[in-house]
Amino acid sequence: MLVSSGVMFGGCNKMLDLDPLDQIADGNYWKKENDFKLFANSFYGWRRDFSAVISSNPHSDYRSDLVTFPTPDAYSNGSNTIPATDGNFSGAFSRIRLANTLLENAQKFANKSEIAQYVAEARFFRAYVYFDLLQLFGDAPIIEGVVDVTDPVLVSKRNDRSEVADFIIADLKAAIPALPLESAIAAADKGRVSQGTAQAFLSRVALFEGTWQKFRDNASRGTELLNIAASAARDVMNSRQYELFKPAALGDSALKYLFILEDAKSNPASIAKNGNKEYIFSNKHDQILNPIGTNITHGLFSNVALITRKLANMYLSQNGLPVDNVNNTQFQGYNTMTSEFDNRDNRMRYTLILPKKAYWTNDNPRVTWTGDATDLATAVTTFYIPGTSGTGYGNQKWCSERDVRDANEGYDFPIIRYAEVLLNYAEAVYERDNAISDADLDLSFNLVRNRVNPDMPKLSNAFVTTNGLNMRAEIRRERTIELFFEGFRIDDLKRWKTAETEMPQNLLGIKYTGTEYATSTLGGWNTANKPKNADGVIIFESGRVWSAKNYLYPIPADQLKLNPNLGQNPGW
Amino acid sequence: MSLDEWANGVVEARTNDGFDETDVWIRYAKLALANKGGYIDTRDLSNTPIQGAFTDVKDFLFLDNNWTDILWGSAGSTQNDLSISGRNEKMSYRLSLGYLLDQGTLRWGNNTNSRYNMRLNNEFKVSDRFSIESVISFALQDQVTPTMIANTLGQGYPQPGFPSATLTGKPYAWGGQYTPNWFSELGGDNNLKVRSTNISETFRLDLTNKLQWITTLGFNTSTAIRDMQQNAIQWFNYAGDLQVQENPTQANSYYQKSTAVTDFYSAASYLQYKNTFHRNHNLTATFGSQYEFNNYDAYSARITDINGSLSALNGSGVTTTTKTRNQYAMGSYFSRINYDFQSKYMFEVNGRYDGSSKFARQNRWNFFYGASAGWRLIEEDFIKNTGIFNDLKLRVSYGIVGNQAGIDLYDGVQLYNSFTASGAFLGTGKMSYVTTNGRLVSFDRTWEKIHNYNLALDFSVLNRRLSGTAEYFIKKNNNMFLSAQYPSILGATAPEANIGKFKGNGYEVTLNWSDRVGDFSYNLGGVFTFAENKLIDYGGANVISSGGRIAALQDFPLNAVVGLMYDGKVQTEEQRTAYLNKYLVGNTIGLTNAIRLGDNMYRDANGDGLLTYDDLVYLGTDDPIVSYSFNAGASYKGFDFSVIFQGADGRTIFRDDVNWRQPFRSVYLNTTNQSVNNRWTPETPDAWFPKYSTNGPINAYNYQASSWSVENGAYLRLKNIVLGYKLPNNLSDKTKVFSSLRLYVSGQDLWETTKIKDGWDPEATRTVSSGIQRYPFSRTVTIGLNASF
Repeated sequence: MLVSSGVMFGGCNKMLDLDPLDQIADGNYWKKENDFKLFANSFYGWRRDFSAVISSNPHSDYRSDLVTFPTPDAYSNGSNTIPATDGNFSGAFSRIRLANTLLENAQKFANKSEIAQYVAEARFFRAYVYFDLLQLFGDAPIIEGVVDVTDPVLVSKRNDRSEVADFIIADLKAAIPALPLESAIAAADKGRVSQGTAQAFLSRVALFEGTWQKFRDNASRGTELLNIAASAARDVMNSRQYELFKPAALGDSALKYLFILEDAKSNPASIAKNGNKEYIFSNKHDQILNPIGTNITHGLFSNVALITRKLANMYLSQNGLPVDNVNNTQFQGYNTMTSEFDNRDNRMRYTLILPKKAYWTNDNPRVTWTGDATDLATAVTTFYIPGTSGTGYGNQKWCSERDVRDANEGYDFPIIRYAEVLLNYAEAVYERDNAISDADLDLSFNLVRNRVNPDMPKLSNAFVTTNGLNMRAEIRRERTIELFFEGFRIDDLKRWKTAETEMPQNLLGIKYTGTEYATSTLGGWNTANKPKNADGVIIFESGRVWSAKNYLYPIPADQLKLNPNLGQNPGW
Repeated sequence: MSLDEWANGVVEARTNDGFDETDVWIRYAKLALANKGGYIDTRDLSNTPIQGAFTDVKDFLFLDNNWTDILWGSAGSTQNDLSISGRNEKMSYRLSLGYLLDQGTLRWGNNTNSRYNMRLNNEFKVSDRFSIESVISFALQDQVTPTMIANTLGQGYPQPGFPSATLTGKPYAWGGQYTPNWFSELGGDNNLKVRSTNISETFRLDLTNKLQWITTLGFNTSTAIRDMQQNAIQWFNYAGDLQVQENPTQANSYYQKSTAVTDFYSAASYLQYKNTFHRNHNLTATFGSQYEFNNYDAYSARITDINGSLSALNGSGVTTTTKTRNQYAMGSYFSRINYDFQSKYMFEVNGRYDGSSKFARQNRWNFFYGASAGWRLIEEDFIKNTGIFNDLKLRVSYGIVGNQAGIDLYDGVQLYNSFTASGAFLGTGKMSYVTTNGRLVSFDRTWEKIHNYNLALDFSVLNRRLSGTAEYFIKKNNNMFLSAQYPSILGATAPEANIGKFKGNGYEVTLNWSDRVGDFSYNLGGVFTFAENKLIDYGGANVISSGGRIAALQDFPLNAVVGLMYDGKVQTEEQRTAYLNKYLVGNTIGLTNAIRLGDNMYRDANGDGLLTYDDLVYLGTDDPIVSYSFNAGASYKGFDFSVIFQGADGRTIFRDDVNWRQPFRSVYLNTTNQSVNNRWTPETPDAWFPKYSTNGPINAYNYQASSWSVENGAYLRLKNIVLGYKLPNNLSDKTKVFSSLRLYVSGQDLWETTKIKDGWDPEATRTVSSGIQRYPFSRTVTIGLNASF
């Protein structure tokens, strides 16, 4: 006892020197290749997932003119205001800091080639985050290092959107050569960023900014970027790493089942995920290991996600003509609940819900997958009638038909799929040259359009001329239909600068007056008293606005206060 | 709300929102009104009354249940204490034993808390100059709660119309909505066992008769073992013949075993010198040092997909393990000198030099000191001779103490967090990953120095029947820990730094009166405390982006509640247009052109023509400014009686519980029914609640923090009341066993008066939105027996 207290009177600074025991600290990290890989793994949590498109998030079609909720969406109808805080803005910078943390530590690492792939992933993800800022806010501060509280960038102006776009493109171009081809990625690493991912994303970025500039009177900048977009898309096509999902056994329903593809039997042909070479970059799910986690099937099926008349009317007839084209003799009009679905692009009846047919959901699942009596016995409905509370157009995209508990669906979310690359190519070429050859269309556009419509005439310059069509309108139509509900529409309208005409239009539903709906007792439609326009079409939402300011989101008030030099976006 | 109130409210709210008769919720609510107490089977979807909607539910139920009665009941608890003591010349001892059993008021699942404790104090006189005092205590706590109790508590009230079980007595689910009671009943037990042992040895050695060397060694170890089981639960339709959900799924069932050991070592050694010079001068001086070291080591393993009948770690699914280990240490040198003259003038100076492992090396040690003086005026003839006072004393003190609370354990090191197999799903499984802890490193933090000033007067008059103390205090902190806000472009959270300046002051008055008239004795007393504080300087940017409680806001007290100034409700279309024309553009308070008659309006408090969060005004503080209590007691022969009242004033509450406070925020959830006859309609323009709505942005706008939505937290409560009877000694002696026996009945929290409007207990915290905070308030009655042998 006396001895111990003697020690105590001695200095005890040493006894107060304690080091962290359960956490990694700076001094003992960034020493080996795996440290970089583990850190890069955290970036994958930033990838878009279903929540980005199936609830009201910045890129969701819920904020466009194609889908709506029962309650109007403030961002869709133009009534959104300046938020006090905004995670879309503020959250991006903590991600950028993490990407920069890896890049900064990589500079001090001796064997650069060992970690080249993870450095490339950090640059890809930095570009990925910056593209989100570019799309939503335009100008954004460019931060290249791990900054301290005294760094002047914290009180600087934002960089011009062109500098941001160039920064993104530079990151992607630097990343591409260091990334592996899809076929070179080991099974244990499937899902990591591939060369094709970065190339495809580059085509998306350059097409976005290229058309943004072109339709804002900056032709030369537009051409330069569209050229990048076209060649990046072409690189993906030439790499032969990806192909459209088109198994013969699924026929015209291939696209429907692509979106709900699981390893358990999820389609009549029992095709599993390894049959899908179309998804270039995806957020993978699995019923057991990583279920989607939201009640996606019930959250979108039928009368929950309400599709507007604009999308329904956009589908071509099987003769390749729009419903209002004078040469279109196939279109059957709106007299019955099902007539407008006749002879249309097959994607229409596999995306929307064709009334008076049988449907299955996850808890009213398919059994035999043949549509026979056993199968019908478990159907959620054998004679679907749209609910009167919606637009009359129901949705079935992203809705499973197999027996799986709510929220345990395990299909993948396509962040980038090959069809988009093909459509990026067609659009980039057309907008760059103000023309596109039939050969280029066949190489890209027609593959997508004819995938589930083998009998539809190809789009060609002659077809456009003969039928009085507009090539640009057809390219945009195809993109809207193919990529519906995948988070493209509102960004497309913004870059095309057509949101000001498209977005303020009333959101419409089915044609009511003079059709079966007005007289049928099915679902109580004959007594449904809904507002209608002069054509007898249901008006679901009116009073929508879109002003110039809506092309960009407002900078959140708190950040503007902390750094007034950021500057508010125009009009806000 | 009752089923009727809810259904009528839904129809009104949805109609207000512009929905017509085809709206599924209006149709559902009308079905509820028409089928009250009944049920509709919708297994066959062609039978469903609302085609195309609610396709995932198997029935519609419209029972009018009171969920408070379903979930909660009364519960018993028992407490037994026993102590034995004795002493002789060489040694003394005291042994205490205790047992406590508490049963939870939740009627579902296992819910008990028991505690056994033992404590033994011993003092040995080894020799005339050396003694050893030893304290050994041991406690065992055994607590069982339902693992999924948060699911039961978390959802304030289930959807109106829900049953407590299916017709066959099984868990009921309606699509993704569950009857909450079954999570507790079937979800498994969370069993916590804590064993703690505390040993403290004090050695006293008299070096001379004036100098003593005292050394204390302490060791405290506590082991907490938690066995947590989460079972799969099958949920059924109301008929009970169809399983509609499994939640948690079997794959998500788990068994988790965790062990946490905390070892705390302390050692202190000091010399104490005591002397009296010339009879009048008393001097005590102490000098010593101390060291404390804490080691926390925890480990937990969880395996999914279990066999629910086993009570040990098992499972065939995914295994995840977590570990936590950390340490901190503190060292001090201290010294104190006390001097008094004739016990009339008293002085003390003290100083200590403290070091903490939490700070970076160069900022670790700091010197703190204090001084105080006392003057016993009663010893002065000019006071004594007045004959008024029985006691009178004036005290004054000043001191600086160090504070390191709220500091992370390891300053000055960039830390990374690593996660095992829980990240993105790549390849064939979830990835492990490493990321930073999201915080910047701080190198320049040091101890907070808190300056305390104190002035007090103690007195006693009227033959000591009335006594009291009046005290005035000031507390200053000129290097308070606060986190300055930086633009989010920084990308990480900046650490707290010693940047703030804080001042608190207040006074406390205590008065006690006691007297005796024959066998009847009584006492009355009260304490009144007034304390206010202010953050004088934040020392950095601090942008407020919404109203509510703000922990630290310059020029205001800590935990200030700020909000918009309520400016009445929109009553006319002209008013609405004018309000929107004036304020819609550039507003950041969520005002949209969707607002209607009957919604709130707010004032442009700073007059800049915009409605933004610059218009927030100070509405009060979440910490009561005034707290008081008074007590009374009386005894007559064997009877004794006492009451304690407690109250607070000057508290402003902005409750965080949005679902409960806002009617129809979630159309399918029940809420408080205070709005039923008190919401805006054209006929009741003066009602307190705004026009009903299910529209998210409108509700968020109306119910945000404002002078309208905050509540006055003042209350007065009967905290405790006791009536006891002690058997006359001659009676208890006759038992030959007991030397005294007392029976008593006491009640806690039996009555109160409060201005709270949302139905919560006045002592409840501002945050009541999750978990255990939602445990309902309960009143307690105790019957007890004190016996001595």
